[in-house]
Amino acid sequence: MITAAHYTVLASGLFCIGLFGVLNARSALRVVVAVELMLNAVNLNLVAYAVTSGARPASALAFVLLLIVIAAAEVGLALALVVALSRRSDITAIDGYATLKG
Amino acid sequence: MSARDVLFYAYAALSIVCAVGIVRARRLVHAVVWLFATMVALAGIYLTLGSELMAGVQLFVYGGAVTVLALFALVLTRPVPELPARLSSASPWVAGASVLLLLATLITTTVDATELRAGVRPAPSTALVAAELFGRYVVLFEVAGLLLTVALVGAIIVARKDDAS
Repeated sequence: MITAAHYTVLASGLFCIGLFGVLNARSALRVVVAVELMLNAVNLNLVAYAVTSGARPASALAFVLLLIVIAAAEVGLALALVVALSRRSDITAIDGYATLKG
Repeated sequence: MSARDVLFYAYAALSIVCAVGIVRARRLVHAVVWLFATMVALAGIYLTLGSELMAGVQLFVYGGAVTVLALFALVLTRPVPELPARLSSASPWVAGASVLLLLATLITTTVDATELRAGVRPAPSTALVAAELFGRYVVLFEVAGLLLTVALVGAIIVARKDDAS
């Protein structure tokens, strides 16, 4: 029988692949793409818990939908930042942005 | 093994393979295409959970909007020279080792957790979710809409050309 644990293991795998992508990326856009993967892993966890634990599944799914909205806002802003940075500094390699160092 | 189990394993394998494809792709366009494939596979996973609402939202928002947005950003940025200087020669190995450690920790805690042994129940209907979202959480819904608007306006301001100022 497929349980919540199966979905959590799958989400852990996706999250870790995304994390590796973030740590290993050399272009800013690639970081955004890998972060998308991590966000989706978390969403998968939430939906799986909503459907399996089931105290109030409808509320949980509404919560996940709101989370998707927030994640979409984040992606839009992140991609705008990538475009602005590449326009201003000719660099899209992530280790080129030393100007943001404090 | 029921049909749902088979489908779960098939979609899980597909999503893992596509996710590895994102990380391994040499060209950014290929990474975005793998991202699209991963999102479609995840929509399948939501279907095995019985939640066709989430599957649809996943396809529309991630399969459609986010992928296209990433492709637009790709077109608007300058191409990165392939293989610029690495941060350090050891970093992929260090990153891989720490991520594997994290994965091992996550999986062992997951297997130990008794709360996660519950099976999949029928997902709530779309009508029920809508009643919650537009009833009890309607203020939250409005705030989320406001947040999205502010983020979009902010994105336009951040990404516009500098010649106005």
